[in-house]
Amino acid sequence: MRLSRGFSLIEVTITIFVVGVLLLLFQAVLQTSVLVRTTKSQGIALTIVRNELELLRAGGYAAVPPSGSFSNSLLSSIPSATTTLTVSDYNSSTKQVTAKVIWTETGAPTLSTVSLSTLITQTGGL
Amino acid sequence: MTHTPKKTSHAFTLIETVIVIGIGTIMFIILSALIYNFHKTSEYQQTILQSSGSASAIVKEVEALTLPASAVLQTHIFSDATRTSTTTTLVLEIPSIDSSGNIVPNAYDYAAFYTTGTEAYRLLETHAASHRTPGRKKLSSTVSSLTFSYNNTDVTQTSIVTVDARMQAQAKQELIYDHRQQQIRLRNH
Repeated sequence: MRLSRGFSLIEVTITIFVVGVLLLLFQAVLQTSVLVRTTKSQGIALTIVRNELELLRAGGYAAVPPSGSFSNSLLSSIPSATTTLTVSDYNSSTKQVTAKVIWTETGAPTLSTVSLSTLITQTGGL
Repeated sequence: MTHTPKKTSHAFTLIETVIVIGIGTIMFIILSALIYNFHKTSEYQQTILQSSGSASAIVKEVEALTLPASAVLQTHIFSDATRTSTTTTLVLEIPSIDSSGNIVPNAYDYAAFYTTGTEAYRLLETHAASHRTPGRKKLSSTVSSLTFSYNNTDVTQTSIVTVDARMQAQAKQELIYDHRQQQIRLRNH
């Protein structure tokens, strides 16, 4: 006669625990890689918007373009990135400029955005 | 021959042994693949972060010293060498500041950005009255190119400097690239 008994509770618990830990580890690795890529894109996006504001400030009040988008050679290194430039009148001699880069990081559930804003005055300032 | 089931202690059958060894092997392979991939991914990610962090550091440092600079110098004699502004070296003259951030009259700090091989450095020599901390600082060790361009053929007349930093780092078999470019206008020019 063969003795056929099932697994004991402790064996099943340990197995589930080990498999669970492995799955958690794996998921953590996947999540970190999204985070790492987002961080890298964020750094590039920040460089892009700073550069844009720097250009506009150097150009002066009269040369500030209307709202729209702007281009930058680094945009191709961010996945499906779009840019927006918002120009509004802060007061009669000051314009408020906001440069924004929006992109979709592969694997990230939401859109990522980096946005910077500055004031450009008609006289003085820089 | 009495046969009490409770005390039976029979050896493993061949099929049982084969199955156990099979499962053991598969688990070992899966585990080692997982650990290998985990290690590879984490090294890859670390390299990406390091490379992109040092790219940011270069741009940030150049910006921090170019914004307050009064001029780009053709050459300046630093304690270790004479440095000349070229497409790969940037020499700046910056008005010295005291502890409260006010400009010290007729006192200047001198800064140079340059690369040696794959390493980028910032060298800062300060006036005695200056509040800035002098010294040589390594900004990155994964530079593939660091170039500066000036908006005037006469570098001393430059009012806008464009810094372009390219990084190249290796994580196991994979190469990681990072590219930053930023225009900076000399505020005290």
